[in-house]
Amino acid sequence: MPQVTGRRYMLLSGSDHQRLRIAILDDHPVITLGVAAYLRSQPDFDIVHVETTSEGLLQGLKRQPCDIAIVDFYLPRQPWDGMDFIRRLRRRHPDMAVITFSAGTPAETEYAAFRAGATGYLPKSAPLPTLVEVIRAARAHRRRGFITYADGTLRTTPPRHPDTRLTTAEIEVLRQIAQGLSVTQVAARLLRSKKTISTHKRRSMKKLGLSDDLALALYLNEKFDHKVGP
Amino acid sequence: MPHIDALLPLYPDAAGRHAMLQEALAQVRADLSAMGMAVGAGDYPLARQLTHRAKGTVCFLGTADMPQAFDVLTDALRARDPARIGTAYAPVKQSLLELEHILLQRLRTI
Repeated sequence: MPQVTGRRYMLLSGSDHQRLRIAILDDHPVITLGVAAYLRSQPDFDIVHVETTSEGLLQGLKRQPCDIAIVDFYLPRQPWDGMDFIRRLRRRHPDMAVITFSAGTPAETEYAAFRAGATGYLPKSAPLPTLVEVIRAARAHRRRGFITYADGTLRTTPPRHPDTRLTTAEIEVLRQIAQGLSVTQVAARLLRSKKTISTHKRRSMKKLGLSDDLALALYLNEKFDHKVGP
Repeated sequence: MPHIDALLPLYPDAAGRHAMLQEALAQVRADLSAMGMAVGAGDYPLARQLTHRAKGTVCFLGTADMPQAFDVLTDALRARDPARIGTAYAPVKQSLLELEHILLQRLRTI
């Protein structure tokens, strides 16, 4: 999996001496203020729009386009948010890189942002200097990769659908659990130890971003409800 | 180190730092109050929205380990299970109170 460093992007993006015009959208005023304050400390960044509504951002971009938009994913009280809003931005401003900056769990948000056409995804829990790295990476890798951040490292590999991260064995264990079998029963049925089945179950839950058995049950109900048969 | 400590030096004067901290403090208190009311009233869809918003506050201003409790509460709210919600809400409230404490500490040093 290719890994990239901020230093490399500094070199790549610094070669053309272009200033980056940046728009920020978050329905949380403290976050827009904080992000804007931090990015203004970069000598080649121009913070053009600082908005708390999706409509405000669209109007602002109409007046003055930007190179990069840093966009919150969940904007629940607004007419547009999430994938719909990212797609709207991509249609209206195809040359602008869209970076999703979200407090949502990566398992739920990262792939959705990627599918909608975002250039990258950064969790709000990431250290602020990382945001600068992602912006520079988005500029350097525009249309050539999806930038993500995990375990302290930037990556340009597109995220996979959460389901595709499961191994065949893990899917089979989940399918059996979805039919109402306990770990012990699944172990007996698949001729594996209880420990092995528990490990598959635990790893699946981690990959899917599920924190407990009830969350797993809800997931299984959605995924397997109409697919399991006698 | 709380993320707020990376932001404060960007403000050139004490007045700017004070205003930022006051705004952040007001937001944390508003998040805490609104979440408590929504959870207490059993308005779980609203509580989920507010939990996400409060998680954003804590992610952005707090420490790296603070946000985990919010995901547990979100799952409990999705499940609409009052007992689980009650259990999951306590550490979330504690995270917000910790962040409030951090912000008050920083305000006192200005």
